[in-house]
Amino acid sequence: MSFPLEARAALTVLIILAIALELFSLSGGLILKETVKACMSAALALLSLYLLLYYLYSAILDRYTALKVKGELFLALPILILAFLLRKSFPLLKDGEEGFIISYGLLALILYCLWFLVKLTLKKRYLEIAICLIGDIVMIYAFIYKKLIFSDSIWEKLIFAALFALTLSLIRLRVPFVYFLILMLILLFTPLKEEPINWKPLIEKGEKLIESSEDLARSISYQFSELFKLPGYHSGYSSLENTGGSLTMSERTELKLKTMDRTSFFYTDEESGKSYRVKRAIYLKGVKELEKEPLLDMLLSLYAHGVKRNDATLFARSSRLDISYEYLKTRDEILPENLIYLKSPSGDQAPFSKKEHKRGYELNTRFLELDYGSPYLAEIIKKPVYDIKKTGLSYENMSSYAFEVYGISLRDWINEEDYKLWQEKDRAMEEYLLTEGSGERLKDLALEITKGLDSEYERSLAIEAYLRQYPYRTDTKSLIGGSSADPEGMSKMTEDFLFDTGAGYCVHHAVAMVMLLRLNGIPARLNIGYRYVFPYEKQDSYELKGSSAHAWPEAYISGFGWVGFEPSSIYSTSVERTWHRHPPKNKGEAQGEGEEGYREKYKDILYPTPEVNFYESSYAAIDREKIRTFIKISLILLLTLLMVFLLTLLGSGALKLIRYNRADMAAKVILDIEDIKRILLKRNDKAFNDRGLISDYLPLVPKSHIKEAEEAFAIYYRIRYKYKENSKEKVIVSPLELLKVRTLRDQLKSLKKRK
Amino acid sequence: MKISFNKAGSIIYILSLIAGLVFASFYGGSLPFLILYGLIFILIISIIYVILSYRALSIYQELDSHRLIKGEKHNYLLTLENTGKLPIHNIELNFHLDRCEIEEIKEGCSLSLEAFERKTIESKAFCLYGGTYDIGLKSIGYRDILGIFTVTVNIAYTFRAVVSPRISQIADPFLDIENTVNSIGIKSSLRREEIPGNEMRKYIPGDPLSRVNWKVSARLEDLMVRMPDKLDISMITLILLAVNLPESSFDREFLIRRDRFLEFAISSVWHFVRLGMPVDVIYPSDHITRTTISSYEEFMDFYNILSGAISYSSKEEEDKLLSLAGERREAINGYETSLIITEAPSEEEDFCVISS
Repeated sequence: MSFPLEARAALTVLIILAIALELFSLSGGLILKETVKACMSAALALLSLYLLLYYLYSAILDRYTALKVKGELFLALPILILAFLLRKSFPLLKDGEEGFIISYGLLALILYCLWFLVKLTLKKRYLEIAICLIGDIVMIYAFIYKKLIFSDSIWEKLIFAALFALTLSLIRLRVPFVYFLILMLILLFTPLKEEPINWKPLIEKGEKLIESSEDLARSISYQFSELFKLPGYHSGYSSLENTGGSLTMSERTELKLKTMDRTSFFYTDEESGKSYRVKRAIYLKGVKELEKEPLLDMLLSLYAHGVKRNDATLFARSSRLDISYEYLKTRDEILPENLIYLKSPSGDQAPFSKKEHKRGYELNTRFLELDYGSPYLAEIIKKPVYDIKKTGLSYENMSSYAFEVYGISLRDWINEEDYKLWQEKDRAMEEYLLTEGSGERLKDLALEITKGLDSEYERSLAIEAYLRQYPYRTDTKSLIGGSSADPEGMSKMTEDFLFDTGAGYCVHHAVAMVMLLRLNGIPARLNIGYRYVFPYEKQDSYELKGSSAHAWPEAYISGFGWVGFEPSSIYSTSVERTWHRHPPKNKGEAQGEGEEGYREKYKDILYPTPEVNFYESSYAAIDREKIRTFIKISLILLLTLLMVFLLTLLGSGALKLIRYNRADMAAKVILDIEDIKRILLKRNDKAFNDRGLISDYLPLVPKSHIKEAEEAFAIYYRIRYKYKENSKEKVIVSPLELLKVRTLRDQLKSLKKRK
Repeated sequence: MKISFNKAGSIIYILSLIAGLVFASFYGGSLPFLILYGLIFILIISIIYVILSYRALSIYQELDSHRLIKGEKHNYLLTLENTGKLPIHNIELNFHLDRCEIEEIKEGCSLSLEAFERKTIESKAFCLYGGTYDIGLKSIGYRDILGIFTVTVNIAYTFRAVVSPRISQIADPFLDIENTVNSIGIKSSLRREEIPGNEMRKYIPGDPLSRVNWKVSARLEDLMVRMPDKLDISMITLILLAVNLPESSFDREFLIRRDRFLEFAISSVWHFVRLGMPVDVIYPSDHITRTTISSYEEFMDFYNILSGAISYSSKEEEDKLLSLAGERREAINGYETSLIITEAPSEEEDFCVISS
């Protein structure tokens, strides 16, 4: 046995010992770490000494004699040396005690037995494989379930390295073991990490790479978007001014938002006592001119209602939002309503500069965010108070009121001159009441919906509720005419939408609401911009895709100002999205607690609010449409496949016929014989090995046709093999011979049919 | 050098590596990282092992003679020695068995060598074709430890053999057939042909009328005919149009063609030498070489050198030989007969053409 094989045997002994100790521990046996250490140290020292002696002696013997080394002889010597070395460290072996000799004798005996067993296993391969397999399973199990008795020690590494080398050597049995021994030694000296591989930096880099590639692709498409405009409409801010055919959802990022404010609101349902969470939604309006009046109208209304700070924060709050333009080209400013601060940090372009804004254009805003779903605000809107006129509230008073209720500095936003202008000039509402082109049917419907309702706000809500019954559908083709640009177009669009298609997307719902409001005498206008629902978790920035572009109506409610509505059934209404803020029940309870307090209060949130229930009804129509389209496409595909199959079948038949007709006599015979072979193979049920010899087919021929077949095959052989190589002379086949072959073919074919 | 991958081995290794990565990604500590590093290191060790094996392996080939005869068995000795300290495992020996068979050796046989071990293979080799080409060991394939890839390296010093074709009578049927159809040139074993001479004799019934000399018959008043005279027939010229190909393209097809070409050429020369007719052989041996063979000794000298001699020093030499063959093919002068043997005839050409 050579040195590498001796080393292999030594490692196997070590592994057996480790498995035995591990199994003993796994089966519930108590074993001290010191005992494990001592056992393994003893075995390793013994085997190392043995290997060293073996190597030295075999080197000497090889050099000077022709004798072969007997491994077993060297085992005795290390044991004797070890007896003295380990007498103190080995707990079983106590120097001076009577049991010392017996214990040491036992250890030596065990090692001797193991040694011989291993020598045996090296000859019986399956035993060695079994040992290795058991070792692998035991060690992996013990490692995964943290039951390894060798854990956190050099033994762990040694045993695993030895086991790995032995397993590999058994897989690659014929490869010299010395290479696996080298591998084991390298592994022993390789530092191994305790922590799992951290892929995060790599994933982040990968994501960055993907993002930058996406950015590049988008930049290219953005640059060329003006050059290659596709037919149809892709959802997106610019497209919503059109109103025509089908709408394709675009996933191109058009805006990026940054905000430090919370993205969801927590509340406790009073009935069930459970806590819920509702996502924050925001509407961003595309405007060409800055409107400061609506803020003043709203503040005046609150002032008139005598709303104090505590009540005011139930339905409104001051928010911050940074907006940056991505793949969007427009002159419009995309802004939230009720602005109280606006600045562009880009520097090169000021807001409302009438220049086309491109990617990278940024806007920093602060605004008063209103919860139109709040019952407290609804009460204010519903019951306007006209006691205080615009002129009755001075600039100073309004400023101090705004600061008192919301902490906003109105002076920084609106100067006195502008304020006076607002006070003196009444808003012209005529343009928001135009209904040209509306038919009687539409007028009747408008009045029918709001029958019996007095307040403008209630009528508006009724119209919103009515329109929300109409399914949302982007695939309107060109069934809805008109446009949102003028009253006639809006009337046409409303009538087409309400009376013809009965389904449409946000533009159609919004235009219809505008027209129905106007027909009820409520000034209304169409807003185009974005509707974005924030995710539950806060992010550094939020991307608004083209699919977030939206159109919605606004009604001018006397005594309050412009109020937005959501007639598209796919989106939730303001009531569904309300912040659920209520005044404190106890006097001591503070209203409007900070973020920390808010979080603390709602830390045990049970269920998120089912935010998307409104998808169900409107998407049912889309699903039905999808199923119809799917069936249609499947049928077309099936028919096409059938056609291709038939054409292939007919084409191959026709080709065969042409080939046969154009062929000379000899070629015709060859083709006929090929046919005969095919027929015979089809008739044959048993396995047939085609060696390329026609004579092999003879046993397949029915007995009644053997003679004819022999003749035909003879003709075939003559054609195939008679002519000399390189000779251009062709074998002549008589028509009679061809007739014979063809008759045989036809007869066999008819036989096949009969069968 | 060629590196080929074992599909199954590679897939198993990649899957194991992925499994090791997954294991190490979920669990830290000695076992997962040991498996992962072990799988990586074993590949590195494999590559180093292949390089070391390549450097440590020495090869010696011996054959009892450099001048061989097609089909004859010759003693072949191959010695492989591992000069390194590590064993070399399962190397693949690839021989030129398509042209020279070696007894008891099959294509792709394997061999392992312990450290400093030497192994010798003694066998008999016999070449299948005439010509000059490499025989014996062609390349060694070093297989890696895991059975993933094999690096095949051509051996640096190949064993080159000059194999003479057999002296056969392959050309005889062709030349005999020509004899029956061609009335000029090679008609019989005689080296002379009959022409009407100046001597006269009396007419004997059966003499062709064309031999009657009418003037003399009129003067002598008896029919007189001319006696036939013997004229030395023209010299046979054999032109060997060998192809000019680089040695790298000496594949089996080429060797078979070259073998047939050489055997036919030797057979043709032997045919004329047996008839006692001198043959003028023109063949390429770097330059265009012309040698006259009229005796058995001259034939044997020619036979011994022909296999190793055929080569062109330049393209010009080839063109020169081609134009010479072209001239001879078209020349009709009755006194000079040329036999043109073309090694790689085109579709319009014949392998052997006789022109006179």
